[in-house]
Amino acid sequence: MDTEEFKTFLAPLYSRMYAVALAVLGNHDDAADAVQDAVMRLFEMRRRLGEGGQVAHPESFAIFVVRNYAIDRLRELSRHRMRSLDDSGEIAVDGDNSDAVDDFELVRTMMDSLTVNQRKVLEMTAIGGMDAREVAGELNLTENNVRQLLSRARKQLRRLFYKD
Amino acid sequence: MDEIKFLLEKYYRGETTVAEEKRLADLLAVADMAALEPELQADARAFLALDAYAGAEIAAVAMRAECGIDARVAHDKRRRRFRMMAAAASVAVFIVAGAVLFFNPEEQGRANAYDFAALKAQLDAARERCPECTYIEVEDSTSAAAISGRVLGLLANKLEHSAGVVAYSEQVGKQTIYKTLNTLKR
Repeated sequence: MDTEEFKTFLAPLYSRMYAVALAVLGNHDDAADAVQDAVMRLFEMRRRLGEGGQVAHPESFAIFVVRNYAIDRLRELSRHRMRSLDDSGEIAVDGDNSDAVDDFELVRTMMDSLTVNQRKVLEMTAIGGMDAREVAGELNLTENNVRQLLSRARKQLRRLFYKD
Repeated sequence: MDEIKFLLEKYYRGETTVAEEKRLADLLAVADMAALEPELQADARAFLALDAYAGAEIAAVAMRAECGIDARVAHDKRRRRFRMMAAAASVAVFIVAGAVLFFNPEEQGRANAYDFAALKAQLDAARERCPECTYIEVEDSTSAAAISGRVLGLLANKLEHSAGVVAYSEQVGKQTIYKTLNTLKR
């Protein structure tokens, strides 16, 4: 598997990898770091991931690798906080798009006000593309519990837009 | 409109599937927001804002990963290029060093000095046999000419180097030439 093939292989997996890392680590920055570490490790092993390679199910293997990196990160005694991906760049705004920027900022502000579980569940569904059953499996919760957390988090977001 | 209202209500109850949320995003992308009820407008706006936020976050994760891959590829290329240049430089240094050693006149001189040392030894041995003699006896004119030629060559070579060596060569050369001439006269 060459570099471009590797990128193509990985592109649809980022959401799921991020969601799995988030389930373990509970915050966006550490989850993003775990995904990055896993991607670099998978890149070193890319020749084993291609057709005829040693890895039979590369997609599952990618999820397995990111989960392990997330668990390792969780075990670290001290964690150096990297620059947050939330601050990674400014959104290019033209005059017509300023509402979208404000909404984006509202969401970012709202995320900080959620409980840990609410944020996890919201990000795993919204960013990770998981459904309630999968989130429940990752977090060891019931599906009903996940739906309740999701409902509260989404309604909290909606409240900001009502005030606005 | 009814479908949008239905899906939004289901969304805020936390009951939508991934496919339904995608359907809702597609509907809202083309909907006339002004035609929605005010409460529904806020619901829709919140949904779209979270959808945009999620898209931006995962795009940032993906971009960071791809930048990491590109940086690794560039690093590996630089390392390979450095190794090739280091190997080429080593070969070049080896060739130059070999050429310097091989073609070094001083080395050639040392090689000739070895012959000169042998000649000197021959002269010293002759002196011991005959201290008052100032020549080396040779068997025939051919040998005398060869020895003379060699001494002259040594002399010429040594002229480039050391004054002391040149002086000694001169002494030896003169003696040998005298003897050669004497031999030839016979």
